[in-house]
Amino acid sequence: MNKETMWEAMEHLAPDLIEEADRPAAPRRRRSWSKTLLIAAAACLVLAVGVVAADALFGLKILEFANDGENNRLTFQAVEVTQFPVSQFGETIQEYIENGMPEVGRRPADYVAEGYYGYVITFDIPTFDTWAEAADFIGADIPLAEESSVLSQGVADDFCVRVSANVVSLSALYLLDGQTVSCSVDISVQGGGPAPTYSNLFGGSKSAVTQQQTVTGSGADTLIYTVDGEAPSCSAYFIREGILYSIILRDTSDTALMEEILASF
Amino acid sequence: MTSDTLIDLLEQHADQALGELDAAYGAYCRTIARNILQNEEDAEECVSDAYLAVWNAIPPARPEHFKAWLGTIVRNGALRRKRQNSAAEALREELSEALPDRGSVAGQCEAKALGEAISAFLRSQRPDVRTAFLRRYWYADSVEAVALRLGWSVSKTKSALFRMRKKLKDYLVKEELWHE
Repeated sequence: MNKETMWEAMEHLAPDLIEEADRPAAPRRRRSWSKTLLIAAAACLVLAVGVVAADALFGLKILEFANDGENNRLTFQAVEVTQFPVSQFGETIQEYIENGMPEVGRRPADYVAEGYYGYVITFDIPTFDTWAEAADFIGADIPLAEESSVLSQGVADDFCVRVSANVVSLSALYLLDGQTVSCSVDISVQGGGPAPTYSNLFGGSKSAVTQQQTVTGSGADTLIYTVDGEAPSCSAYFIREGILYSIILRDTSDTALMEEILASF
Repeated sequence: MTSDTLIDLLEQHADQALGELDAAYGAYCRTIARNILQNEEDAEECVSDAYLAVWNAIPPARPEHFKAWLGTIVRNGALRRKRQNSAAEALREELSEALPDRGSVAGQCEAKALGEAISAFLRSQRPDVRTAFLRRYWYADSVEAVALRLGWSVSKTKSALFRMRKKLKDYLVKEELWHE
């Protein structure tokens, strides 16, 4: 009866609205390049191996910048994120924070590092077709940004939501005009422990890593790391309304696309 | 030809009335029928049935919004013709997400009143998302067709429709048209 009522109600919609929806759509204006943000060249900084930040910059504190002979590794901690109360998340997320994500299976690990359990556990990771559905699952009270209008022009794989005791993550891989873009969002959980740390591997030990500063469209201060050479990449990190966002472009150090994406957040 | 002139011809049951009707609105009617029935032959028959219904209705009817009135006849005919059509059923299932989880239509609220409320809700939305909603759930366009029409990606279209269904659900509860 419920579905029928809604369906029958569609017969009684205002006729002017029905006719309006059949009018040809107005042509879309192409994005104006003059509106894209420019990176502050004056804020360019080449990171030196061994640098450790004394203070957090834009809520991110560099813990280590090291070279292991093959790659440069940047490790940082998001120290100025909001720890959201468990009750602010969606019901299922609350359950997963409390009890862990449901396991699908576990098998003995091929290699066991010292101090680790010898199992590989596979979890049932919730996946969604759209950013909006994943955001709804995470919780309507979490101030997650709407999907980037630039990224949404591309094709996305599943939107995955992962839950641990201290962080809830949303991640997606977009293909945008032939460029792979990884977009991750990390939401810290109150009472879950210290702020999580993140590592980014920059390939090519001889390649310089440049740190630059910019601002997203909504005014969130952003750090961009670019590396040229054999394994170029461009990564951006910003904290918006207490939530950490990471955008990574592989195989390119071209910041123009990154600027455009950041402008849409 | 304006709709008023066409209605005049239909009122007179002039020989050329149906030909002019098809010339002006044939593609529009076939699109609606095809979207629902997913079959060219059935869609043609449905449109023919609709023309007959129009011929019989005018006079005395003289609809103010002729195009929407005609589209409704075609749409209802298509839905009646193939109620078990899986595409139509999937669309009904999708739209029913806009219904709150529990409860029922409040009091004497009928489909007509609910339709008026949905219209009011749609008027408060941005024109592009309003169009997306109507193209999907009234015109039964595929998500891909809606995306193409609006110049959106499929992903953005699905997200927009999802948000609209959710907002409509909240609106129906807030307006006390649906008691939980």
